[in-house]
Amino acid sequence: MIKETAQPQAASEEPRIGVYICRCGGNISDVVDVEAVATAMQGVAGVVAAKVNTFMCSDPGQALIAEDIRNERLNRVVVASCSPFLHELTFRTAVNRGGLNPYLYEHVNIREQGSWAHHSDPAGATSKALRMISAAVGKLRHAEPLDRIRLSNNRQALVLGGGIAGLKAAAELAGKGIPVILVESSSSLGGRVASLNEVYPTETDASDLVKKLAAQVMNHPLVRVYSQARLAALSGFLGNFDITIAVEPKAEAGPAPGVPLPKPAKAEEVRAAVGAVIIATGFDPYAPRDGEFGHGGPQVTTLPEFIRELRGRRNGELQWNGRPVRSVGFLHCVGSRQIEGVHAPQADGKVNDYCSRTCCTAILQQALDVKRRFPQVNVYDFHQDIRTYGRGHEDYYRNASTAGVVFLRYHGDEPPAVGPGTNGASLTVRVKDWLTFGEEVDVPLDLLVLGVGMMPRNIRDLIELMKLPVGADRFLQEVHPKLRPVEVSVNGVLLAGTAQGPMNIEETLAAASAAASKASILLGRESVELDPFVAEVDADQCIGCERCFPECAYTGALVAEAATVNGQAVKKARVNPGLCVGCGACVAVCPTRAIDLKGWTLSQFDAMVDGLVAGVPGVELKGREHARQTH
Amino acid sequence: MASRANPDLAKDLARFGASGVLTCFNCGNCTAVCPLSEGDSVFPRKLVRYVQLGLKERLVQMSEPWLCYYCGECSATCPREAGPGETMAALRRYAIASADPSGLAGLMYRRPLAAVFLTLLVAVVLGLFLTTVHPRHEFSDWLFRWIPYEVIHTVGMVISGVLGLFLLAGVANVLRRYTAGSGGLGGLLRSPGAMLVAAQKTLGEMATMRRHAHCGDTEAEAARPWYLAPRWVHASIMWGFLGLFGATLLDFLFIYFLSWTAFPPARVLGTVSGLVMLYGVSVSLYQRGQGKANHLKQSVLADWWLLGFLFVLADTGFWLELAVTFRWQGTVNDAVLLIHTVMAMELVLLVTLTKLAHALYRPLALWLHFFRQAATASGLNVAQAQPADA
Ligand SMILES: Cc1cc2nc3c(=O)[nH]c(=O)nc-3n(C[C@H](O)[C@H](O)[C@H](O)COP(=O)(O)OP(=O)(O)OC[C@H]3O[C@@H](n4cnc5c(N)ncnc54)[C@H](O)[C@@H]3O)c2cc1C
Ligand code: SF4
Ligand code: SF4
Ligand code: SF4
Ligand code: SF4
Repeated sequence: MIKETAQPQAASEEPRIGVYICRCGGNISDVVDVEAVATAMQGVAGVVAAKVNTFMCSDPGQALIAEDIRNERLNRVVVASCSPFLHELTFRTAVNRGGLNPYLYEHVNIREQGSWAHHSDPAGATSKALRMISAAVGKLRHAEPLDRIRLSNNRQALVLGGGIAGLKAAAELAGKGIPVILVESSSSLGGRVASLNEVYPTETDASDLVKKLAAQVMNHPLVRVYSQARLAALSGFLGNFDITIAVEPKAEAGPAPGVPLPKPAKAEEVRAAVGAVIIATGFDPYAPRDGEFGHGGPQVTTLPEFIRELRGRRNGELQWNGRPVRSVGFLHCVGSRQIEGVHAPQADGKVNDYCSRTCCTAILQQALDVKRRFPQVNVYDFHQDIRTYGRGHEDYYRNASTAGVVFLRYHGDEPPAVGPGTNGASLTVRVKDWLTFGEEVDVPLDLLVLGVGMMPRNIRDLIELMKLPVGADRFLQEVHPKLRPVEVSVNGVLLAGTAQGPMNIEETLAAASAAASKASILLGRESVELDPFVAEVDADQCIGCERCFPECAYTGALVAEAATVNGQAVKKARVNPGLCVGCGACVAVCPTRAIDLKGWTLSQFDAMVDGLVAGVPGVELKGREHARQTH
Repeated sequence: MASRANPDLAKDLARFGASGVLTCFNCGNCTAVCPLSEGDSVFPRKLVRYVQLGLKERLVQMSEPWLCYYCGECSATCPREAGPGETMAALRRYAIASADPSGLAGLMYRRPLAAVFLTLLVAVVLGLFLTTVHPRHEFSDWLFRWIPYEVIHTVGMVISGVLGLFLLAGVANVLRRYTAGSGGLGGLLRSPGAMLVAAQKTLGEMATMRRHAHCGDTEAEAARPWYLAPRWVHASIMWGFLGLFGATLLDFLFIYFLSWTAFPPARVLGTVSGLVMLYGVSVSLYQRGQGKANHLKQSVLADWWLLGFLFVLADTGFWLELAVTFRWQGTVNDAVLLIHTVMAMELVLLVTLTKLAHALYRPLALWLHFFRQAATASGLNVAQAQPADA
């Protein structure tokens, strides 16, 4: 399964270390006495060169390293400068260009953790810089050349969910020639969009949209669709996931909305190998509790129900449960933007404090539709804010307003109360209306539509199976909302659509396209490369005590191998570098120090501690006199 | 207490001339630009909002509609073209209609045809009635052959009496509603000082319409010569009207009761006032016909009705004066006299049903406004308007 590459042998020659200290144009050298640090480092055993430069990251700075590697025959390099986030890769590459293994490099951060943090204590900052650099030098003395881990790549993708997100992702991947397995839990394609009528902001027919997307997927020879199926098992890692799909045909209550899929012939389990997984399992509309804003009463409904109910109704007179509707109200933010202490918590004890983003425009679209189709009906809109943020969304607000929809504004901590109706109305909404100077207004209604927001779908099985990160709002969480918006911290797993959080159709499709192109980049490579910082077991020293196995949280990272120690059959540990994340949990419990992390060995830690404690023995640095005393 | 929303109110007010209310998105620009909104009397957005929601109980207690002189700046500024100024005008009509216990005023505003019919009907009744009080005429003799004198006389008296009662009830209603928020009449009587100050200010304001000077800061308004500005046009109508009213009273006194001949000072007053009013009414009719200025974009029948009455009254008044001076005789003169007298009587009897009611209600509202100002200044706690029921 995994092609493990041979690691290069230890560099056994005497260490010849070059230390480069950056002034960062004064950012560092205004506080840290860099010259004194360089002088002190020159006296340390194994350090061949210790130099100061104004901008190490500049071309001349980088060239200096390569030059010294050649001229001084350096075989290890330290750069003391800014955060490794900024330039560790820069200098590893520079070292590599000079002809050295890039992992024979150490980065020391004496700016964010030095001059910037201690600018009122130059002596302390200088002494700290010296200690950190000597720790790095100590660590480098024990460094070995490392190679990145290279793994084979299964060029096939798994897409979970056949809503518009899953359909779009599958269609795009297939279009790039990548085979796709699409797993849909229901018996049809299209997800929630299939139950909508015309969708904002384009007023396109939702079923047309779903049909188009579904056709692209169902007619494509590279896509295999499993309906009434779920992901039963998954193991492996980026490029190498082994999956099991359970197909479980159920008796259907009635025709589901969307594009129907052929009913699977029988229950079965399908195994496959994929290189990447796209999660497009969507959302659930918020389900109000009984009695929440009158929910459960005959003249109270939710927005999705209302949309479904109105489909195909004849224009003219609006009726609900056999009663003529003269006034209808739409209530925003039901189940969204909840406030702790004001709203009852959900089953898990939390409130939904996020904005569901799609409901405002969806409500206004319906309010306007009512005004157009049933002009005699009075329409009231109870909102906190009108969040019609997207292109064309504000038109719905303006048109609803000019069509005569009456808006009332409540504050989140004083939500409207729904009570029984009087004078022939079915119910009364009492609201403290901030468009009427905070006065209390009773609005008699014959129908109240609850603008329910989005809830994360219950996909606990998938979350546990794949160790998926979940945000505070309980939707799946990306690595970084701006820099890595569709990736999760599990390599090779990507997010598409509302499984990640509230999105409208445009945003869902954009996210799906992003996930598909990210997946096609991952799957486009022959092999997958990973950082070499993983654990390694010295089989000779391993006594088979098995203490490390329960420590490892990453299934499959530690493999048990039968062996004999002192004539006894034991299980020795071996590391699968594709699955090991290099957390070090196993290292800590091994009684014989048989396990080590490559690039972060125990002897390296020892040397670093020595360096940090002792600095350079016999050297005491005072720091800059002229450092700015700002505090 | 919560007040109850009522979607029918906005629909009803549309018939009074407030058609754009529902498109208002509550930005408050109108209140910000209104030169007359101040202190505790903030408008027009507040009233537009009450109309939007249909908070009727609140609206009928508010005297704010009368504080607006309809300069139209709010409507010109409104980004939604919701017509806040027209809403204020409609609310004045609505105030007249809802104070009138007969329901006739409401009928006249909601159905222009009914207004025409009612005006003619009252005119006929009054005309017939007059034949019974005037010096005998051939026509009277002819008429009494068909309808007995007693019937005509009684019907005329009864109708006049009933209309007079409506008039009193209308004024009483307005007084009661507008003072409800300040603790009723009793509440007012408790601060006589403030009442006096307010009365003084009200009289001053009525005489000069000083607040009107704040209107019309726009360039178009500034370019208009002063004698065409709304403030002076209105002032000439009002002063002309009052002058004619006074002259007529004097005439009555001298000619009918004292049986003197015309009293020269009354004649002079009448002539000057008539000219002044005729000027104001003509300019106003012309400007309304043009419909260019912000405050004249929308005219309803009630506006034409009042101006028309005043115009005819002024013209027939001049005719009669000439007739008296040059001792003209004949049927035409009798007819002119009849028309003049009928219209004058009708104007007075229908005062609480027509636009002329503003001459009663506006001073009252101003007086309450100044009263609250004075009371607040002297540290009295004057309650804000609260709805009567909820
Ligand atoms: C009332 C309402 C009105 C809306 N109106 C509009 C509109 O007019 N315009 C607009 O742009 N947006 C609108 N939206 C938003 C729109 O519905 C969403 O953007 C869209 O549905 C998101 O699609 P999705 O594929 O992410 O999720 P979904 O539509 O929820 O699809 C998820 C799919 O995954 C399947 N699935 C779930 N779990 C699993 C699992 N474990 N294994 C396999 N399959 C699984 C589901 O069966 C489903 O088919 C509206 C939303 C609401 C609530
Ligand atoms: S989109 Fe609007 S209705 Fe929905 S949660 Fe956000 S603010 Fe509330
Ligand atoms: S380093 Fe962490 S992930 Fe790797 S084998 Fe050890 S415990 Fe498991
Ligand atoms: S018409 Fe003029 S006075 Fe009246 S509310 Fe508007 S801005 Fe104010
Ligand atoms: S009437 Fe016009 S200006 Fe006044 S609040 Fe409404 S939209 Fe704004």
